[in-house]
Amino acid sequence: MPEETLRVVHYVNQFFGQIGGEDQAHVGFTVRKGVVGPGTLLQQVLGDQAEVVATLICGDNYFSSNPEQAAEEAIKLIDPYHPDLFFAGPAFEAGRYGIACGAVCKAVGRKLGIPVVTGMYEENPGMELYRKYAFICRTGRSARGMADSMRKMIRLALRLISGERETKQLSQENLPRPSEYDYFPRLLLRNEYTDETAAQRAVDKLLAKIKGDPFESEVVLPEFERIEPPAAIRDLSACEIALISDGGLVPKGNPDGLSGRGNLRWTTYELDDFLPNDFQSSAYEVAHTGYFPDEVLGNPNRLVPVDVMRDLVSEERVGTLHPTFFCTSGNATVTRRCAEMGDEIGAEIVKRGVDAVILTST
Amino acid sequence: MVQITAVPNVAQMVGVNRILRGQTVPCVMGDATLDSEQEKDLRLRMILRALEILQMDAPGPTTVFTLEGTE
Repeated sequence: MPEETLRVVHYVNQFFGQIGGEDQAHVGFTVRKGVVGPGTLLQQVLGDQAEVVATLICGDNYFSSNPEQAAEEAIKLIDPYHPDLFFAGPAFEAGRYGIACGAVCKAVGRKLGIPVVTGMYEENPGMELYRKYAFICRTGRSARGMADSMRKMIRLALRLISGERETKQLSQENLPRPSEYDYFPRLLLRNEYTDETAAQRAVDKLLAKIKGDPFESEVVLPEFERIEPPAAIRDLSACEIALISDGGLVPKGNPDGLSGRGNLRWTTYELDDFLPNDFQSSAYEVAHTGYFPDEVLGNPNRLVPVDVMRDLVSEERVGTLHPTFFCTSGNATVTRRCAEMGDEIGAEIVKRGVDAVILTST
Repeated sequence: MVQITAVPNVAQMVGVNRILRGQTVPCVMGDATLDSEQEKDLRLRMILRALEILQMDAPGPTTVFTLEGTE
């Protein structure tokens, strides 16, 4: 461990950086000296061992729309502070924030060669995308767990700092096990000596699995199913197209009770009534707290592009626009339920003889 | 099915087979800085691109389409 106080840089989004909420999610980077927001707790727990010399703040939409480019920009702002350690978030369940934390950690880890630690809930898309490139501690869903999450992140970070001469990171042989520090496995392979050969272990595990006994997988893969892509559409002018969105656009009053967060339902609306060309903004609301709804409410076609579809049909460039719009809200919904809703909507779409779907997502 | 989203890397991770980049998270099929005619024209171009993609053999989640080409 270096004798001087460790220098730390912390990344947070516009909300934790005290710039604003969803309305400020588009802002670019700001750097503030010292701590901001949850950085105070970070500094407190680090105590005398380290100093948070700077906090980098960025809007979630700005970052997550182009994570690799934004990360490059971030590096230029972080490098002058010569950090020994880098923390991002924790992001908990927030998807765009998780993507930003993961991407900035990945870039900092590679370019600056220092330990990079963040924290996310298991379902955060940033976790699967970036677990290989950063130490992502497991957190709960909400910032109520901030104190515990920070402590977990710091405990791991201090363990990672090493006195090795050339590099500030631990070499793979000394990496702490995910289970000991509660971070998501980085899908790293390292050599270990075992008493039994792989063949023996594999057969033992297979027999245990068949018997229904407990066994431990040595390599755990993420579970997204490969979907066979449907064939290309041959003739657009004979094609019936349906619109689906997970942006939560609903009639004012939200009659079907979609939740703004963790929503579990989908519903349908007949487009002629739901979104006529002479729509009134006041007739809608957005049941989705994951993005700032102003623009969509200003013109719902910005989410559900009916105006253009109607024109294409009347110009005979497309066969038909399916009269029913399939509506859900996809904000922090458990992936299993998302897949189920997809299956349910898919079955209904097939039943109705629709040929193709355009899905618009926020 | 083609998905239009401003955060295409999530679609890639999940394995969506036809992905078109949208404008921004809060305004995926529009641009509030344009006047309404220009914005509708942008939306039309995006839909025409989506329809083009539907007529291609699906490239799979390694490809993200944009209005002009691919990323």
